[in-house]
Amino acid sequence: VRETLLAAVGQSPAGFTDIRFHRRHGVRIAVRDRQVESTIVWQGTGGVVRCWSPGHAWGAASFGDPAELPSALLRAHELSVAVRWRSEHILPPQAARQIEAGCPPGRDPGDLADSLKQEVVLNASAALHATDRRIVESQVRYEDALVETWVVNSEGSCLVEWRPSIELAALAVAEEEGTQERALGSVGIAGHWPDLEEWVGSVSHIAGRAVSLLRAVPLQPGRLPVVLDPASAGVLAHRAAAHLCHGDGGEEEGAPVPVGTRLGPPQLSIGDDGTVPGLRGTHGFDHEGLAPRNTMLVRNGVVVEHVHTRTSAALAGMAPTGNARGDWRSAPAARLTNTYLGRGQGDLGTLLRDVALGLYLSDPVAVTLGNGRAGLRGGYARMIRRGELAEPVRNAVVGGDTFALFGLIDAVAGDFRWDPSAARCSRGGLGTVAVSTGAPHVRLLDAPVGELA
Amino acid sequence: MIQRLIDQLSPRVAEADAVRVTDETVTVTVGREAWPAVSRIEGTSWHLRVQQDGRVGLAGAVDDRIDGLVERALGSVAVGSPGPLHLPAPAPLPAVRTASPAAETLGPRDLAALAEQLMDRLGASGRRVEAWAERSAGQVQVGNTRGVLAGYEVTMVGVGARVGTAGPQGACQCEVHHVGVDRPGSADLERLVDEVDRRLRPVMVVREAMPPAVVVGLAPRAVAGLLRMLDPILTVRARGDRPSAPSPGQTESGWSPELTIVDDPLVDGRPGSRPIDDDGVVSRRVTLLQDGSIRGWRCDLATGERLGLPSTGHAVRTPFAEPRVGPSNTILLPGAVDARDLAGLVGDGVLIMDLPARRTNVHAGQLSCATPWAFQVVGGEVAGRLPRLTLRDSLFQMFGRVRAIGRELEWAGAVGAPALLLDSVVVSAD
Repeated sequence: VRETLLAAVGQSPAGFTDIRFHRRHGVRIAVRDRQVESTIVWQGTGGVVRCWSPGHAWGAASFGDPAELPSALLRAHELSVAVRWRSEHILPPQAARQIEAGCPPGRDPGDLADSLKQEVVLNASAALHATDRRIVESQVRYEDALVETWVVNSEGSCLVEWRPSIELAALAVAEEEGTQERALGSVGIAGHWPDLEEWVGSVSHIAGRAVSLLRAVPLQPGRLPVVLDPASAGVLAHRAAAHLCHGDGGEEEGAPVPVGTRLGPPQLSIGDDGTVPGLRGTHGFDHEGLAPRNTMLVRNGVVVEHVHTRTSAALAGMAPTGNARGDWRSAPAARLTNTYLGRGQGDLGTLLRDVALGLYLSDPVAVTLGNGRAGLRGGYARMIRRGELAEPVRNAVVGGDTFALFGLIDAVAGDFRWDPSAARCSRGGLGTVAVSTGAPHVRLLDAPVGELA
Repeated sequence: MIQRLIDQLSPRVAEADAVRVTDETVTVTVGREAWPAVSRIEGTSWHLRVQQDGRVGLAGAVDDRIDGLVERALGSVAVGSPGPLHLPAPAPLPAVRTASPAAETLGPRDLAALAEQLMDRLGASGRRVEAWAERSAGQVQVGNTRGVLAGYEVTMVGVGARVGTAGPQGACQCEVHHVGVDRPGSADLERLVDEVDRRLRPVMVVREAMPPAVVVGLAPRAVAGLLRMLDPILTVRARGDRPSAPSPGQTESGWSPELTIVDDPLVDGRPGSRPIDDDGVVSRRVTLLQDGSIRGWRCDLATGERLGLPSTGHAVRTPFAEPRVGPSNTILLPGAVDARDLAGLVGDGVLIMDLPARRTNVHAGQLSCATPWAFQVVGGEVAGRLPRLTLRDSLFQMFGRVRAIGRELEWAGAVGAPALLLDSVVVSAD
């Protein structure tokens, strides 16, 4: 592959050329109520070549096999110059990089028998049902993959990485006297099978959550102090704040929030770090061949930078941040990697201590964002009474105007942790990418609760 | 090629079926402040199912190496789901137009001209416009070991724009698009320009409180958003989900007798048009809701079998996923009212131009859906823009309070809808 890609890029007539090529294979297993529902084995190969010359458009063409690359490269160049544009944009050069990162030994899930994978998924389903007689339904979904990614460009970069991943997600539904409650959880790991078996060993806690919600009373809409667990705070920071910092245009919000905008109080800092070892969003290089880095997006409550591709950085007059990612046949866009909300001081007890009546929200299910509003739905929540965690409640949502919501943060604990769940980031029609989020416990004062934005 | 695959599998398995999809898409993006781009993406995808010894295995691929695909499918049988593989017998295909030879020949220059034409028409002073035009052409083939071997050509041409303003009342951005089998004509572009002009009209921003329940007029694009939210209610969910009779919330809420909703893959030239689904079942028009009564749900062969119903021909298969049930073209049948002056019909209330589809509770139908494209209407005239209006009502009950349905059907992608006038919709504005 290396010789083919390098030969092709060397023959390009364009001012700048880059080639990205992926090979991947994997398995998906879905189990419901201790029965295999489907097993799909998949494989794919493909890539995209981009050309650009000063005064012209970007031209991009896909290819399925490296043997098709010479014709795809000519096509990309032809597309680039097919229509003359009055474009004055210049792509600043980047230093050449060389990386060859193989799959860590013993981490390729393709080396494991599918029957072993199926057994683990069935065990997880059985464990959910065995937790309590009130568990009436379970769903467990397993997915693994090994992805080989090549990036070669005309500046002399040649990079390749093999990346294994295993994801498992479990849903438990409990029912009693006409009331039904559900709980879910997931884990995403970098191919280390014992980590998966360990997680499956504790899967019954998901069923336990569903059962405990059966007796929970609905949360009354209103305003309360809210303490978010690290997983909830991390996903809120990712979806409701960092998504406003895509340098190539926000989605629902249009253009990114301008640098200098106050988003929250001084104790709020949010960053995106594609370099943290072992996390889902960590890569040796982005899909334009650049090194990921730790990018501060919000410092002391103020937006200070955006995540960029080379193109969006050039348009904004900024430096690229190593956040370019795309699916295997399309040009890359700015995507988040491992988003975090920075640590403060103290721990959960510190945050609970001053709360006479409030809400503790954990195990996030979803964050919605649109029209300037953000909503966070927790999979589990408990009331806080006189500084202590008390009874569980249903309908645990917190939501409101995005900026106002962050403005309600009054305390950030120091108990930072990365969330191990199989998080995926979706951005408009750009597909999903694996990401991680991390945060400490966070407290909001008088947040709107009980009704989604 | 699909026949070769089936021939190769026939002696080795009890049953098998496959879907092969090819596609070539050219996209042009232009904008005064954007970096112009032209791309051509080609692809082939396969989804193969095999049944042997009472187990079903699935395999997917995005190339034509069918030997590997067959081996992966056979390998997955050992850990596959127990049960039969339901296959249809061959049947004549109905007539439906899914492709346009003229659209197939559209190249980058044609698409650039289309995008620039739209950009020029939308580029009034102070507006920021990014326009795009896209043409895809391909083929869908379906085959199985019972003798089904069918296929159809597909073309799709889309044109759209993201338009932003930065007026004294604050920044505002809207997105519009048109898509169909044929190249868009001048009338299609003018409709987009007219819609942008109406949505970005320079009216004052209203920040006063709204009455809790108001008359709401929904433009066709907003009705399309509501219909998308109904999709999960009118579709038997993914195989394995427990298909069941509609919940009391769905049947007892009193859908308006004026409402009839159909799913019609046999409408010519729409994104969901097709003569056959991915199970190999020939397509037909299905009435989902007739005169306010639920008549059926979309389902595929597997979910239909579980319900004891025939498939409605709504199987969807993509290479890396298990089969699912999905809509083709969803249509709310027009009524008799001339709704060209929708604000005039509203009188005093709210006019909604666009409504993003949101997930809905399929049992209770409770909805909380915000839109920046709502306008306050007073005395039949637009009085101001409501920067954020939220519908906080039951989807089922809203569809029970239909005052009028427009007589002009408009398409937003694969959804055809007229304008709709609803009474007493619970809203909040902030």
